[in-house]
Amino acid sequence: MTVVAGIGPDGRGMHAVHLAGRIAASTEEDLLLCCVVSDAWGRGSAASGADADWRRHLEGMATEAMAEARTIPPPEVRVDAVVRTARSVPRELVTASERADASILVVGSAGDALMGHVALGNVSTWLLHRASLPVALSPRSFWSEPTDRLERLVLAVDSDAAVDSALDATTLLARRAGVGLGLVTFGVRRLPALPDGGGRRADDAVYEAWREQIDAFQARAASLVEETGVPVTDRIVAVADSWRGAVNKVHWREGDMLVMTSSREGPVRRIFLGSNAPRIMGHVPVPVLTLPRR
Amino acid sequence: MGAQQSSFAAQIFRRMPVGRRPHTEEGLKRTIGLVQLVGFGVGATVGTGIFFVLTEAVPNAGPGVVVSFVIAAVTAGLTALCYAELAGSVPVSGSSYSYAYATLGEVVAMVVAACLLLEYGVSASAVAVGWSEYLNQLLDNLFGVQIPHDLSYAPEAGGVVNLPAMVLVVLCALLLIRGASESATVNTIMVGIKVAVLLLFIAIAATGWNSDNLADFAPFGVAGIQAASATIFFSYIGLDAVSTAGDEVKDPARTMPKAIIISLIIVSTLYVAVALTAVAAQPWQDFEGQQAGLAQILENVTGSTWPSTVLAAGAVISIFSITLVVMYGQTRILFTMGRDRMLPPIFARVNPRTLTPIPNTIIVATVVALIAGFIPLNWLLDTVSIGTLVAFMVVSLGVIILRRRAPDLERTFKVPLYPVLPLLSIAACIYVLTGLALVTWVVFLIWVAVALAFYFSYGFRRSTLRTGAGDEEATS
Repeated sequence: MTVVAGIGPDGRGMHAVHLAGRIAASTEEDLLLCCVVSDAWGRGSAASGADADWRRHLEGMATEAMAEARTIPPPEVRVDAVVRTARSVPRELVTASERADASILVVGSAGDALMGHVALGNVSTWLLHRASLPVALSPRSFWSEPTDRLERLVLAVDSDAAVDSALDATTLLARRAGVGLGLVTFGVRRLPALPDGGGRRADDAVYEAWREQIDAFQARAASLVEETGVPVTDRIVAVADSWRGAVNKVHWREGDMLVMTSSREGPVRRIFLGSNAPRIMGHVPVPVLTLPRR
Repeated sequence: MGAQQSSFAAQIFRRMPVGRRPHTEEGLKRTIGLVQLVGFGVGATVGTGIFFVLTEAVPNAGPGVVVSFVIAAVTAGLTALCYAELAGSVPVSGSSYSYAYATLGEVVAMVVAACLLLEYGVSASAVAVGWSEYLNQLLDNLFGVQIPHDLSYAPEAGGVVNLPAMVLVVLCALLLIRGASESATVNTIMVGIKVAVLLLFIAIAATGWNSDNLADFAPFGVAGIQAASATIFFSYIGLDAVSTAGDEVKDPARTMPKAIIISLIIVSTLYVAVALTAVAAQPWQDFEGQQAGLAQILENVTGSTWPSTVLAAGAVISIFSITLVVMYGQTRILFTMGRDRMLPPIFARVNPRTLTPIPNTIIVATVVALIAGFIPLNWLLDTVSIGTLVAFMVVSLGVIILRRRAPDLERTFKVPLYPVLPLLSIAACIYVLTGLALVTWVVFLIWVAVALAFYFSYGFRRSTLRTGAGDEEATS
């Protein structure tokens, strides 16, 4: 199995290489660096001749970026690199991943992500909606020393279906990396300022019912995970009045990776994030691994 | 036979033990002071009905509508005081349904719940209909276009469907499903807008003061004033919000009555001033059928559109927020009933991702939207008033019953002048209620009969009190 890291010809996405290197070293897999040069016009189009010089320039840049990227992963990881030209960058990344029998495809955050945070860009959004393999997003300016490894996976739980869908892939990754698994559920609860006829705490009953459900989901998930031999390190319910507040309630550690599943609305075997996932992602200070729906 | 009867009575009057409802959070701190509590009262009350209630009430009472406002205010104040005692004798926060369930028994709780469906569900529809009037006025003032008549009036009012009102309800439902709620800041802004536009109205309408308009003060005598006070009671709904905050109030025994009375004085002063300047600004005969009444009056008084535009804009913004809050209250009341299995468990389903009762919200929105789309405003207002008044009457009665049955019960707040005050409260409710049209009564009694029939076929056998069952896992 291989971990694939996608980088841009301009050297964007180097932090994806840091993350991919860390994962590959933790799970003892090979690493494939894949740089896709976007060729929007396509060969054979009227503009392709005029475009050729520009493309050659980009390919030259890509080769330089590759040379730099090769120095990043820990020395014990076997690294390969390919440069490709394609009309669709994300589609080509998926094709390369399939050829390499990839376990995970790693891409970087959009350029406008907050320092240390994850943000979706064009490529990652496409991948999350359509890729049928696990996709990891590295936070902006993510940095990993050659000795750093994954320390803990944190699985986001919001339904039994999400757990069932994520269980195999997550426990497999945890076992290969030799790490424990935390369970987390995020929730946003905003209480109205005004009392109304339902009483000022009208929402408490709703919240209690929610907690009961979540505790049941987590208990079930924990027993399923333990059955596979992976230790469950924490069970966290993080609730605040905003997604950001909820994410910040979790005591994140260096070496964590958050694992999220696609939502139920998504087509089978396609990653389609629930409406909350992008909002949660934007505030998470650790890498995020999204699993396609099974 | 006698034993059977007593066991039947025991069943329908079984009470929800208060300890059965666990607290999520550690005990609430008593942090709310007088000023904040008055803020609650004014914020939750002001603006609900005043924007459109005059159109319905003035044709009944004439300029005497000012007196109707005072009658309704006194009734609201008395009932709020009784409500505060009942709320203070049950150590959980809840709606009057919960208080009735804990103190007066299951069958009474069901009657109260039926009333609350009118007080919340139907009033959300009424408010949405009022909103569509002001929306049309605003569009007309700003762009010279209006939503076609057929699409902005209920069939009874000469249209086909009130589409804007339905759209508003759907929007609010979407917000509620996403877990929106009014923050303290937003709420303060809304209250500010409501009070500001009402003050603007008073100031400008006063310039059109014409004493001749007040000459025929009570064209339909006391009966007209009484009938109008029932309709107007609608605009005082929300004052009970103060009562539900009892367990968080510092020194409730002293703060509570003060807060209720002060917020009532503020609100009724505003209302009376609005009503007085309105009836002095135009002949009472002109109120009938006026759309977006307050905005119209400003336009007639000044001859220019900007004041009416400002008022309509304020109304559109603040009525939107009222609809949201009222629908929220309704979903939470139904949620509690679902948990008690007085309603099917679908009402107690919480979506794990949004922390909101989605099916419940969808059901509420569907019913509220249909009512708003197809039933005219004047029918709605009286239905809301009758439901609210009866609920409050039960609460006032509950205070007396509870004092006799459990005199030593710890109460955070006791009504002054017992038993005079609860009796006065009941008398005031009855007085206002008798002003309502027969048809309103018929509709109401049918509604309560339906609710009771539902209770005997469902809740009577399934309520958690009877089965002792906890919640099944409801996943969505």
